[in-house]
Amino acid sequence: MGNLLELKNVTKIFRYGLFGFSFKAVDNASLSLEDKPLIFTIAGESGSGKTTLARIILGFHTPEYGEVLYKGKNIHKLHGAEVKWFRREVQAVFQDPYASFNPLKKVYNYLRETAINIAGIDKESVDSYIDEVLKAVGLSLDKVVNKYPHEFSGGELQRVAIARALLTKPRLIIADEPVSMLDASLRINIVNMFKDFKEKYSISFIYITHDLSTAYYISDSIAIMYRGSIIEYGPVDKVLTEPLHPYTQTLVESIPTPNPKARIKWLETIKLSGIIEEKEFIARGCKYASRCPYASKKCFEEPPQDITIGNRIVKCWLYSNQKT
Amino acid sequence: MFEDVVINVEDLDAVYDIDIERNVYVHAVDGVNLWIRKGEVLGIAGESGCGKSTLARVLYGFINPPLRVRRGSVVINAGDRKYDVVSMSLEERRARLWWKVISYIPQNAMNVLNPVERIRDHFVEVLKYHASSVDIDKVAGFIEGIGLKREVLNAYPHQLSGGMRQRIVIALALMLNPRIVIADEPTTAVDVVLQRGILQLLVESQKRLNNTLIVITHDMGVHAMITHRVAVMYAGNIVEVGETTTMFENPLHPYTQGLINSLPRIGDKSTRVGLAGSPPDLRNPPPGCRFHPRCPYAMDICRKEKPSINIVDKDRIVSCWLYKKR
Repeated sequence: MGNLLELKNVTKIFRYGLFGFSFKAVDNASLSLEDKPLIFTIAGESGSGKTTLARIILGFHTPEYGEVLYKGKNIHKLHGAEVKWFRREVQAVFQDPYASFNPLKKVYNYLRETAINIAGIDKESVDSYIDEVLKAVGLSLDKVVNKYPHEFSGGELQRVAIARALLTKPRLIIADEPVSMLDASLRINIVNMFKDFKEKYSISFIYITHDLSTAYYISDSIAIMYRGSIIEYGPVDKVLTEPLHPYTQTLVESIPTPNPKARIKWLETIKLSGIIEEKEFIARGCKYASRCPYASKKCFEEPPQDITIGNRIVKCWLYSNQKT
Repeated sequence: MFEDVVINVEDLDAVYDIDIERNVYVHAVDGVNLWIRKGEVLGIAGESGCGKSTLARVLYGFINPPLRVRRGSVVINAGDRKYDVVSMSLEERRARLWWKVISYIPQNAMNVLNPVERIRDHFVEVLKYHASSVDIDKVAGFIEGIGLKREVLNAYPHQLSGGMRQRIVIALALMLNPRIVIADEPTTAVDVVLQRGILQLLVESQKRLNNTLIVITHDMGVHAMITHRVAVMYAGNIVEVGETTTMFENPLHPYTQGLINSLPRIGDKSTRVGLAGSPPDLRNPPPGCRFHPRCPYAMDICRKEKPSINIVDKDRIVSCWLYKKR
């Protein structure tokens, strides 16, 4: 089976100033999504490069090295009708819905424009089509039609943003922190919707988040990023329940779980470091080495290679002897 | 009241005025009763706009227009004497309460340091006004105690990472051994590993000083990890108060149930359901129980009458008609 999306050794370099400092916001990232409905999470802390990676996949950034193939086509080299095709096939939902919509424009206008210009719906049936899509996200046209963005609550407006993405009947939706602005009790409703759309409309999702609990709940596979590198990658129930990389292990252990019984272990004192983050981006060896409890000399000197263990890939020297 | 109560809140009602002439206001804290003990970690939970930060501001005595206390009292027991925060003047609160008796770690603490002052000047300033002497060596020892190097005292805030600045603000708040520390969303903008470190720091100093720590956060996971008791707020009301372990095992109020049951956990893929609808506009809150429009168990009485406070058990209070003994 072919891949829906494939990233091959993608590197994105950001520079500060004219001659200044440059660093790799995304460093040699490779991953692939099979051509079947699935939810793929890219997880990481702030500054891990997950949003940059998302923007590369959407075509907003062009990588310095490597390529991104969507259905076999390099998305940074699309021409003419292909661009429109890609915009129809791949849609995006962002973190802050209030920032996604122009505050002076009624949201209905966005929906209408997307439906006519990108989805190619004719003008007579556009309203009934929009209504149908809004109903899929628990809204309806008459609740939306005359409103400006500020007249919606955050949760409602995020639903409108999702509906807008659905209008083009996409094959893939890239959702960048779509629920982190919402309250916990509303979050789950949105992620449940993603699960539902995967089944009902065969849409794949790339879910970008720092929240590993919702990632575990909805996704099939996960890639964990740290300072621009994908350090662990595989099925979500493996990566998050039996993490291999020391960073993934610390991350999973540090999540405050809504279960007071887990308290004793969680309160076991961890050491906070005073490391300057910028230095980690340009580290020669493993970028996690200066925080890693298992770091050896080699880790500081040589960047770790991808090591395949079962159906997982981990970037860590600890596993270099157990190639399977 | 009991001897070990350090803060006693009675029938507190606070509003944000929008238009005084037309009597339009946001009813952010509505009839709150709460007592907080010495030596405990109390959590205040609830979603954005539920009034938890407003309650914290009133407890601290940071009551400036448009925030106005309409009714009720907040009594702080400072050991030798008691203070009614609401009736004190701003100068009195500053002179007698702040830093020494009660201190406050604000939201986004990493951004509250003065960018043109060195870290040491922040400490010196507080000591000058509130302590008998300025001893920079003592400050340095204190800084080292929270895992920072002495040299940071000579740094400007921008030279430190967000996490280090956050620890500096915590150090400032703890420096004069206050009886009460209020931390308002102390870790919302930080990564989970740093969050764990910062919360551990707060809990350790609470244990060492045996004072009271009030943690305000929407994150139920944080409450489960560090608090002894939790007060859950919804739309300006405290809907449930209880011991943390019991509350997580058996949440009573339908809102608390929704809040806890909607959280996914790693290792458990069972379907979770969130609450329907969204919190009410506090300019015009619904009549009766403020939660009734979203409540799956809403009855007739819930739409008409405000639920009374039911003491279910020792330390367990719930404000819901379902638990009214008939």
